[in-house]
Amino acid sequence: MTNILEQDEVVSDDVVEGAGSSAPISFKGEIEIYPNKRLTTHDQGVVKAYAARSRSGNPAFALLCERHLVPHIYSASKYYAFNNPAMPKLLGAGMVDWAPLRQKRYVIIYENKLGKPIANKNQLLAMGLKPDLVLSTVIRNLSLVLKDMRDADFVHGNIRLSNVYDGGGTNFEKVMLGECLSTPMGYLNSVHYETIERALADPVARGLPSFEDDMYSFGVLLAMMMRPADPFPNMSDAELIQHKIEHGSYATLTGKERFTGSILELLRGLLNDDPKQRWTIDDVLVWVDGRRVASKQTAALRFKANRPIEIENHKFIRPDELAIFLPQSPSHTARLIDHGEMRMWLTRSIQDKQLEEHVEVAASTARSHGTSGANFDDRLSAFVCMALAPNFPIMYRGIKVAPQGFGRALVEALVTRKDISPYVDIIQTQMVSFWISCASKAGVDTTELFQMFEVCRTYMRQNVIGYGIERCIYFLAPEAPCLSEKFKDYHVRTPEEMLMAYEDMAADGNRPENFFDRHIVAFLSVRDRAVIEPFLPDLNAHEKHRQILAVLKIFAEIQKRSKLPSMPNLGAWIIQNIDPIVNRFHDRDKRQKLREQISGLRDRGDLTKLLNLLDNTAQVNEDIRQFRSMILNYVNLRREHVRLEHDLEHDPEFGHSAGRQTAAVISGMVAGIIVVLYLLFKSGGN
Amino acid sequence: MARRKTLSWQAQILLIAFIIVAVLFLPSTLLFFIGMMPTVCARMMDRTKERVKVLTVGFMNFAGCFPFWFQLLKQGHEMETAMRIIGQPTTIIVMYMAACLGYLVEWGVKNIVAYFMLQRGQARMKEIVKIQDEMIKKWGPEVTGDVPMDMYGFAIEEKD
Repeated sequence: MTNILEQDEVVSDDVVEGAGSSAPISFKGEIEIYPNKRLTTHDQGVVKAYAARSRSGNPAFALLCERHLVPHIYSASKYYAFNNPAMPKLLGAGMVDWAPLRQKRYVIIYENKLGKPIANKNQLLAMGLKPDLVLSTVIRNLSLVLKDMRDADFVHGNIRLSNVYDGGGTNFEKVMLGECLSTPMGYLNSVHYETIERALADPVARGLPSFEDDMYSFGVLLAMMMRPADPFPNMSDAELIQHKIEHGSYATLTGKERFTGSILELLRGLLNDDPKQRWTIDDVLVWVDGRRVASKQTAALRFKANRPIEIENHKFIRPDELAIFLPQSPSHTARLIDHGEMRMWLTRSIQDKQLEEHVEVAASTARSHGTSGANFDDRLSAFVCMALAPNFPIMYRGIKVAPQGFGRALVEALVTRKDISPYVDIIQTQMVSFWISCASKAGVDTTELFQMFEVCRTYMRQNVIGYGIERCIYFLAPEAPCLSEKFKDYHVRTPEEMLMAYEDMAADGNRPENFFDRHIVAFLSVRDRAVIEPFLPDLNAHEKHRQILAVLKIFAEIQKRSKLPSMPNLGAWIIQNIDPIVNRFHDRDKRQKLREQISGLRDRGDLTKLLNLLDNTAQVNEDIRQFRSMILNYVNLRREHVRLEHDLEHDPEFGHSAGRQTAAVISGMVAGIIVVLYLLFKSGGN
Repeated sequence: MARRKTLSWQAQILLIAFIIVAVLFLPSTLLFFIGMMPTVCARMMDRTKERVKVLTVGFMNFAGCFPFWFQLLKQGHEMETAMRIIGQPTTIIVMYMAACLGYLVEWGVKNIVAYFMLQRGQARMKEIVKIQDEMIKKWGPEVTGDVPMDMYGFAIEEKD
């Protein structure tokens, strides 16, 4: 058994003593995470790695996920499926109580057999390894990993030199690929490792890569390991992409370096900018076996004009280059379109009728959403650029987003408090639909994307709670946690976790004023539609009692359905807010009785029982019926009082009438008695 | 020109029957005519809506006349006898004193009943106020109907 201290010794240079509590944090009682034992070599950018140990004593490491970088939770199930020694074994993923930050954080835990990174900081762009060594170690090991991934329908998206480890070996014979689930795929890759289209997008907005993209990154990784130096050390990212467009990825990454025939073939195959021509993993395995890889059909080349178009002393020979420039200077687009310069250039220099038509449609579509306003130039540029370079990301008002990465980018923008209005505009102006109409011709399957963004547009049309941009976020980023400010210290992914978080908040005494906000309702609407959809009108109602009752119904349903444990703190919190429900009874005695019954349930935490007590429509209706009857009674009494008061004050003969009648009756009776007595007296005398 | 009030045919038949009976029993008619004069006066002087004073006075007046009428019947129901009985001062005194007793009953009972009704009215007013207070306590001020209410019957809170 490897002791955790031994593990620390192995990575002693990289362990940083953390601040805060040093007590181990338990993950489901199976794994202990040591928050004061940092493993900086295993960090994934801002996602920090910590030493951990499984119950069996095996060393592990935990990656503490960041709220703004949505981890690939759904891919974890696929990751579990394949077990390749050149990949760290996934031990678990889920929420832990991260005591040092007093937060509930999502962690992904792997078995730690990675060892050290194979490249130090100075070698990340060029290692200068011998091709034979790379072939016998790295290529053989990682090609098998890539094959397993392909068979499991899994993409890595995080293949780069800084994410390759020695596996504890001394000469790359145990080389391992690092993890790939804790950050959006491609987020940490430099533009070297990404294809032109993906490199152009913002790192967080690159979207899920294809397996071809992984093969490209693999090719870049090999080039980085074998090339002795960076051929373009001072190039910026934009210049590097520009170079790739002009000269191709192979030339950009290898420069003037001459590789031997077989390695040259491998790198050319993997670094091909056309995904259809790029080598697959099968091609690589054939190559590893020493056989010849069959040549592939050549796809359409990128457009190149006979003569450049000139804007502000910049000359553009390719529509791709123009598509990168225009979003940076959107004011030029309208001029190019309105003055016919663009059309002339496309007609005379590109001579592609379809591209010309696309640009015209793009311009008219952009105008159909209005020709005035501050964003018109940006919108026109975005549409025109989508037509000029169909597979490029949507470039609009400073953001560059691939539709597949839209959800994660939106989450990142929201959490980091960036302006999300460009994202709203993109949905409302149907840019994605237009992108799809252009991109589909380039062989991208976009049916699902189209439907998703159309659904989002319908969400955006409604501004009531449960709709709007919040719902789009959870719909487009199904792995995102609830981003409500109320859950800023939690990583809530499911309705059940949400309920547990509420219970936790209630126990801490950290109780927000309202239970729900737009984010929470939108989150539940997407993740558990059945539980919240019937109550959306109540949640949107102005009446407080309807809102609270709807919240209670939702909570009770989740607790009952998922058989969650008793929630006394949440119950007490709800009871604290229950006055509007109790006060909807007019009868004060009923209110008092109800309060007494509720206080009996305070510590039981059974939300269903609480609901049954409060959600009694028959009682409420009876109360209303009685109340209406009482209003009538009150009015009748008031009338009687007024009448009596008036009679007593203003009628001097009050009661005289009844008195006279009584007198008549008495008089009759007395007279009758006199007559009878007289007759009796007379008859007695006789 | 004021229209002359005419009696219905039933009333006319009754009137004719009454006149015939009065003529046939003329001694009794004479006795009651003289003896029941206070009742006739009471009927004429009663300005109340119910006009029940005639009953109150009439019953007692009749009780005062009854012994003398009984005496007339026993002594042969003759006109002379009737005149003799009427001519005795005691007869007139008894008859008219009985009528006075009727007036006294009317005055006394009327005031006693009116007093009790006044007391009952005041008690009822206090009871109504008490019931209304209890209703407000149990059902809230909304039950008075004086407070602007929402669709659920609760007072609309006035905002500053």
